[in-house]
Amino acid sequence: MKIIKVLVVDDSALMRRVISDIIAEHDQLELVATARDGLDALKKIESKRPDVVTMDIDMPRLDGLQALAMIMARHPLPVIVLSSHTVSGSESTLKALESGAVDFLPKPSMKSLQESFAELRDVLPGKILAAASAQVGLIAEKKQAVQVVPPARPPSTIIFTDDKAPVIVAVGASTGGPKALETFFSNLPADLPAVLLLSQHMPPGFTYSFSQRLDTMSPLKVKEAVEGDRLFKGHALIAPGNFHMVVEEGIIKLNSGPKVNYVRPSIDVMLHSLRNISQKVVVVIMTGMGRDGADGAQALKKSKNDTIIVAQDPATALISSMPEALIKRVPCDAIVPLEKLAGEVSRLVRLLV
Amino acid sequence: MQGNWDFAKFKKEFYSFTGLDLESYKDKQMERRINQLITREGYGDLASFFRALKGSNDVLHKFYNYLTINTSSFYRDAKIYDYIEQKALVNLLRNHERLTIWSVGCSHGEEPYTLALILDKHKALHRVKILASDIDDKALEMAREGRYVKNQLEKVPPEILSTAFTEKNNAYYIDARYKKVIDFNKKNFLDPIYSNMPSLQMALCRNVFIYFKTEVQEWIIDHVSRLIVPGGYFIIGSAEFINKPERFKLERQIPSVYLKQP
Repeated sequence: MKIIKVLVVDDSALMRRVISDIIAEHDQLELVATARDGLDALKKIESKRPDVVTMDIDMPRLDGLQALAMIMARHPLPVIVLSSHTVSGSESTLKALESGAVDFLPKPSMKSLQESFAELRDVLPGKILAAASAQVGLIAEKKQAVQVVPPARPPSTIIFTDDKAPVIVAVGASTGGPKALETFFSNLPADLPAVLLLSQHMPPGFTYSFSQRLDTMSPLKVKEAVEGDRLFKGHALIAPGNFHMVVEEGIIKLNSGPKVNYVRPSIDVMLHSLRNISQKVVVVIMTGMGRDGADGAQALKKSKNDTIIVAQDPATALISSMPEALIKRVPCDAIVPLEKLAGEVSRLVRLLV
Repeated sequence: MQGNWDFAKFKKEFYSFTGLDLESYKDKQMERRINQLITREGYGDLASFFRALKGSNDVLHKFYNYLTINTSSFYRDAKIYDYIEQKALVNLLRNHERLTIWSVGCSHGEEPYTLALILDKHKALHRVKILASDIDDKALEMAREGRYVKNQLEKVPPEILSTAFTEKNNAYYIDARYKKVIDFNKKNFLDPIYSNMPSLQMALCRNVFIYFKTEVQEWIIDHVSRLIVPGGYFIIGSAEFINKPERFKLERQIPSVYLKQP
């Protein structure tokens, strides 16, 4: 068993203490140091060589975003950022993911400390272990590669026809998803004859900012899904955090049923709901820890044999286990590197219509 | 300056420039063919012909066309096509709603059209897209036209011959619905074309290796096989052989037919 060395960066002594305790209790994790701001963190990364860093965003002297940029430039390693639940907090989180953070966690809120500490204790060790398996080299390579992301446009002003979509593209992503999805969404064509449904593991609040961000980057009209949304061509609907998104009788339904694979929204739940619809489905499973999506894709393929299954090439996924689980479980129609994913999905959709 | 190259010298220089191994041809025959070309096109001697090849892609491609002797026929190699029809395509159609197949080195189109005929027999023509490529412009032109003579069609089952082709003045024209599922495109498989190719359920790379030395062959096998999804098929010519196919995640099923592993 490999021991994962962790550096905890936070300006609050209380948070440093809470996180350090959680790490100390886990027998596969070792706390190598704590740091009180970005500058301190950079020094300790050099001297202590941690495997994973957890880092607050709002800090004095050198804040989390600046520190992150310097870490990624000098000495790329998996960083998990902690951020507040507020709107500005979720925007800086998305920026952090853009700059190379592997994953993020909402900070315990002062309203219900006890409860949120318990939640942190449940999820933090898993996130650290997942982060340790991240292919961080991909982030560093990515920074040098020419970005194919087209210039951002203002939120949707294009008039989209309200044509019923003949094909549903059901996308699932987890850790590493936000950044990979930006590449995927910005390269999809505006005239894609399909509606896109996305379940990305993300807490509530973040999915709203994230859908707005994707909307400015993507030729599709992207929004956070609400109950009753219909399935129109050229639209993309994102499952809100803390809700499963399903399709019933041709429209979107949201429910807060039990978590599946420890998550809500769950990709499996979304895919199961597509078994009896009339439209054809293209399933796309991208980067992420665990195996959410594999069961659902298998069940969907079994009841709707004309379903097309696409995996992001695990070699291009920040965390490869979700696409790997899919490839093991279902015969895939395409296994595609991230840069080619949008093109291949759009080709397959057009073959179906 | 290097006026009197002998053929061995030409072969060596040509090989280090292109990776194309002329060794696989019978020397006398090849030398005669090249000398004929040099005389016809007025290049003078082997050394100046080589400089012309090096200096112009156009001349090089013309020479490739000249080297490639395209002789092929429909349903060439019955054993391989039996396996493709009865096993490979049955499996693929069960697992995939749409098939994307690449015929690498498609010559006059005999191979992609044969696949289309088989898929049509299984009522699955609308579920396939066949990408067919060759380096030879003339061959591609003929493939797009879909016009064949009787002896190329000897192995086509009679019931298919009568429904899929129209006879006119001793020539046989393949029906337009087969052309619709095939994209013919000029491609040189030594060029970096692979990153623009889609995921494949099957690739056929038959009789294109004979010109290349082992490293080049394996480079092509490596690149093509990466495009094939697990459970998909890689087909080579009946006289060809892949050494240690597990290096490419391929498992031999019968001679010339390999299954891609996860």
